[in-house]
Amino acid sequence: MRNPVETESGLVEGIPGRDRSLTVFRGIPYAAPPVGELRWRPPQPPAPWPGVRKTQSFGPMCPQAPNPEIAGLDLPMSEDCLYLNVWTGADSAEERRPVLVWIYGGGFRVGTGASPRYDGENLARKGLVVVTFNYRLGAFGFLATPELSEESEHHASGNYGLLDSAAALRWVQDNIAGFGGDPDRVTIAGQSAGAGSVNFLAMSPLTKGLFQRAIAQSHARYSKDPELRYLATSYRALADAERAGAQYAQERGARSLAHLRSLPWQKLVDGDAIDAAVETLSSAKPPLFRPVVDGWVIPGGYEETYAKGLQNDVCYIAGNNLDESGAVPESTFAAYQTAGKKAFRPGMPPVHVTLEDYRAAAEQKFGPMAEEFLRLYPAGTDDEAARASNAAVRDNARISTFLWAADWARHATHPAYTYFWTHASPAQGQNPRRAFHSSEIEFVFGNLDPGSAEWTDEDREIAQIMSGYWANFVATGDPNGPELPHWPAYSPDSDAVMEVGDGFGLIPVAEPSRIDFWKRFFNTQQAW
Amino acid sequence: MVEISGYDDVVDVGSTSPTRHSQAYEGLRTLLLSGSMAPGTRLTEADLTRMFNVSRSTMRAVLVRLTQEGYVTSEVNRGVRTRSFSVEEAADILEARETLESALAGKAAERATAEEIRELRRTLEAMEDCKSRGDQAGYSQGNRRFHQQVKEASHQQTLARAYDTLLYPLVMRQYRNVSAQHPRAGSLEEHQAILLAIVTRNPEAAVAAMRHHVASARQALMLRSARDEHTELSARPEFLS
Repeated sequence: MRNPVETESGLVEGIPGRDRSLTVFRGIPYAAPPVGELRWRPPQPPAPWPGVRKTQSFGPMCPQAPNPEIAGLDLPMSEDCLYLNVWTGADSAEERRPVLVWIYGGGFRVGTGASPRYDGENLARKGLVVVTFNYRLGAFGFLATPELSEESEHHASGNYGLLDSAAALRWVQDNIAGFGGDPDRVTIAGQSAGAGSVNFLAMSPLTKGLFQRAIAQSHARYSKDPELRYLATSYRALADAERAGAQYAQERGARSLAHLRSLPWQKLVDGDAIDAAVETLSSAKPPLFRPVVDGWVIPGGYEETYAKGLQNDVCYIAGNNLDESGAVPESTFAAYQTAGKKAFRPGMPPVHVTLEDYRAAAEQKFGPMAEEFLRLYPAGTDDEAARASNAAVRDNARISTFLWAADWARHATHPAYTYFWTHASPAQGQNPRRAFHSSEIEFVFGNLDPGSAEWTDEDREIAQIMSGYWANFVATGDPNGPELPHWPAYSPDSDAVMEVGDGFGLIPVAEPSRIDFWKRFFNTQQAW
Repeated sequence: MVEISGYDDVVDVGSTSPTRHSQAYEGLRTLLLSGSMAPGTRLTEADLTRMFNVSRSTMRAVLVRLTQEGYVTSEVNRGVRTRSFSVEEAADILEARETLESALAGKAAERATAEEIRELRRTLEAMEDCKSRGDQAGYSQGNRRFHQQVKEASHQQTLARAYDTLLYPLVMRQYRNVSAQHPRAGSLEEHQAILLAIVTRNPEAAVAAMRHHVASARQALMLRSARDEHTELSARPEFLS
């Protein structure tokens, strides 16, 4: 790519990638620093700069409590954090390459687009233009209060972090052609809270037309699945969010909104604040700060939006992982049994490895249907209970996403593809390996860097296929391509999901009797 | 323990899990070293306990430890604040670094294993690559890795521990000349000279090369002109050199 590249705000100069045919631009401002009076306001355009801006270093990460996602990253933290990064292999602005915009996960409270897990170099080598960016987190991104709603011309507050994502997508529309990207072939993709963001942006009228495809890695769930209420796809009603926000401001000793805006950011970073008021039928709870159905950015909940067909009609990939949401590999049962009920973080999904615990959880979750549940997922010993719990968690996830797809597809004209990731990864220090929450990330990015974990040849083969699917989907809206196992689109006529990982092929969503049970259980639940 | 702070955590119960104390200690230390808080910033127990999700007594113990280690200062009526170094303190610390790190380099020339030398070479190659591509942040990371690798290759635990307690990363950040060229002219060649001395098993040359390198880095800091503007300088989100 010939340097510098022209953007609406000024010229930027990138640096060659490790593969010198690529150019990397780090730390391009896509919005004005959201500081001072701009704290808790929709992102404003960045100030233009004269001359050439050297974009060689990642921007600071948004304020967040120290956490493993950012450990060792060696980046400053600042409220001035709305920067994005671009990887491109295009030789000139004449090219039109498909664009992947990645939205990081981390519970809407941690993360940075500078994480090496999201390094765009390998996907750029496959012909994509890759964009990662920072969005506001925690209270900075998702505080709602009555005063904030009042000063808003839309009478809404609480979705600043999602508005940042929307601003990054508008920046892509306005500027990505200069980097050889195609503004008419944009895919948004994310994992966990990033997948939640994808789901919300797919329901937002503010982002209509800004992207053509979407990938939600973990947690696209059926609106009546109570698990949804604590997972990354959870949301708050505006009135609840305002009430919690007012209390939050009061606890910080803020006398007024102006006073709250004047507090140093260090006073507003929270570790693990959870929203304990949400009924989830288990000890799992969502974080306090998360998106809000505010009537503006997010007009309505899932059931309502999908039933009316109001979502953005885009191609979709959604799936879940083998060892997440409370399922753990058998090789770790003994360790969990020894650890007992110790909570590692408030609100996290419980892991049931003893019979007593498993039965009590079934009673709490299924009430009058608990007996039937225990007949379908029987257990007589602790190990059997741990296995049955795993089976139930995994069936729940697959059936829920299958029913999500049915709702999504009802008014959609583009295909949806669902997957279930089964390959155990050594990433993030996992020993023994497991297909844990987020473990597919390195594989879809093709980022099996030597030194980051003990990768094997099998890992590399799987990464080749996964990154191939993702690259094809970003380019065409269909993950399929030469030399890849066929991945059929979701169809209401087939109770099947694509296994990706240890195998590549259709597997049943679950046994018919179990599907029937979960459907009936979901129907007793309030829709979100 | 691995805990990914998403909605759907993974907890590796099989491995040793650090205590809440050491998690909060490491977390706060990392935050202080990242330069996200300007020197002299007030830290309150209430804010920190929220941020790290630990009890007040745990956070108090963490702050006592960080005060003893010099990362923060604690004074009656002024509370706990991030450390701000006077020019004299900074010069003192950097002088100690010169002595300690040159001794470490000397020992590394005697004791580095073949694998350690290969690793050092790889790091230097990555630094060269970053420099030629104009990747300043990548160069800085390589730089830090190089110095850590020399320390480990010394196989001198007592010196290494003393080196780890130096607060020079904080000093470097506070007094860094943000408008200067980066990497500093001569920086890469100085690292090459250190590696050459280690590879050729020449302790005297390694001591001299490291001493020269650290002294040059010190001279590039704004120890004379800084005075009171250092707070402003270090508050800018810049990378540690």
